[in-house]
Amino acid sequence: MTTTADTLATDRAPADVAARSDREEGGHTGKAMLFLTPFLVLYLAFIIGPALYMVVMSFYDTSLVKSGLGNFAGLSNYAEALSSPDFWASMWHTVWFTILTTPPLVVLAFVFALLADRVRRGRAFFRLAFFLPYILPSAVVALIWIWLYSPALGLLTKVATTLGFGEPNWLGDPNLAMWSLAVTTVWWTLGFNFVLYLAGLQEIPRDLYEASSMDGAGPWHQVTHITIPMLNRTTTLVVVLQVIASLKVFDQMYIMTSGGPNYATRSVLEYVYDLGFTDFRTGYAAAASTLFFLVVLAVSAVWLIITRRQEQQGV
Amino acid sequence: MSTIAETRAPDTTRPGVTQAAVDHRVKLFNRVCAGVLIAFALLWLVPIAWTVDTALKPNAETTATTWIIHHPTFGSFRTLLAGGDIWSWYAASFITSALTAAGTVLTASLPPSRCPACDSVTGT
Repeated sequence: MTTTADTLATDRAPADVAARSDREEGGHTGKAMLFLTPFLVLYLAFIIGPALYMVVMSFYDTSLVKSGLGNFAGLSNYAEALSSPDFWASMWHTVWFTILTTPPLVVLAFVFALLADRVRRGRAFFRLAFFLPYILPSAVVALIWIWLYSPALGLLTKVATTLGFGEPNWLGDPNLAMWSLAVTTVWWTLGFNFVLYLAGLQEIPRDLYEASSMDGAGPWHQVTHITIPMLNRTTTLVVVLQVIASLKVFDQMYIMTSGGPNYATRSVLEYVYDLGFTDFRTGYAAAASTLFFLVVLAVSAVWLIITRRQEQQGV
Repeated sequence: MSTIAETRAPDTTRPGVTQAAVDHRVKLFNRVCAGVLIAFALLWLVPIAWTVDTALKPNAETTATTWIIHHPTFGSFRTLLAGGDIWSWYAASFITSALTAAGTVLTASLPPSRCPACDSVTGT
């Protein structure tokens, strides 16, 4: 394993050095800033500005039904959120959803990409099959799956009863609803990770496989000793993007269950939405958002540390 | 990856294993892989196939949980298109996506530096 990594490093070094000097030459700060201006203006106006406003608002009792920031509330919004069982329940639902969706979305995408990379004919068909759901908008996905899950009439309900199970109430049973949403999400977004893995697989030099098969390595050894180590960077990227995407779950839950039954599938973003736009307590909702933002920020920081370390080892 | 099987050199370290036996094992392995992949690809297409199937059923048949359509019809599509509104919804979506795409390319293509995130995807 280490030998392949080492030969890779020497192969890669010249290209990386070239890329780096390229980047430094392009870094004439004044000119670069000029080019960046259109993007920066929009970025400040629509991303950084509102985010800062959110943090400010979280210290006030801002409400949608009166103008302005309202009265300064200090840390009371945070204290209330951190002591609210509803906030923690929704936080747990988001984390539970992430735990349910991330492993299958990474492992299945990897396995499907690996298999699709092996086949000689019909590659276009497999790409279509796995990527097609990803291009559907959330409302269409929700509609299709509500129809599949519908009691008595749904295809999946029929499949379950034909197999001898009692009729499952896919979206109406508090213990089952989160699993049903997870299945829908895996079906919907697997295509993206699948494509990332396909791209990663095509980057692996073919001669590594030829050399290893000369040494008598079977397909299984090639997967465990060449493919998986060579895909390390892709895997890191896929896992982190997936964790962040799963933490940000909102659409399918809002449309398919509205957070029900009995708030069993209310994600933290839906909690923020409910508090902000149903209860009009935007100050408190901003505090909950900020707390959630810290969680996502922590995940991103972990990714940054891991990729930094990989880059140092790789070059 | 088929090239691997073809270029595989005779394994001289293990005299008991013939080239034909190795080729046979690799071929079998590839078949199993293809079978698993086809099964999952078809499974992934079921929800969309079911949607299309339901769309082609007349309203009275949509409550029957079966793939068979006794009187296939484009009636639902005709009703939808004749409704009139769908064309303005199409236009709204098209205009929005065209403007978004143009705006993104315009503002994002100007920076001369390369994005580090893209580098880590391709691994270069």
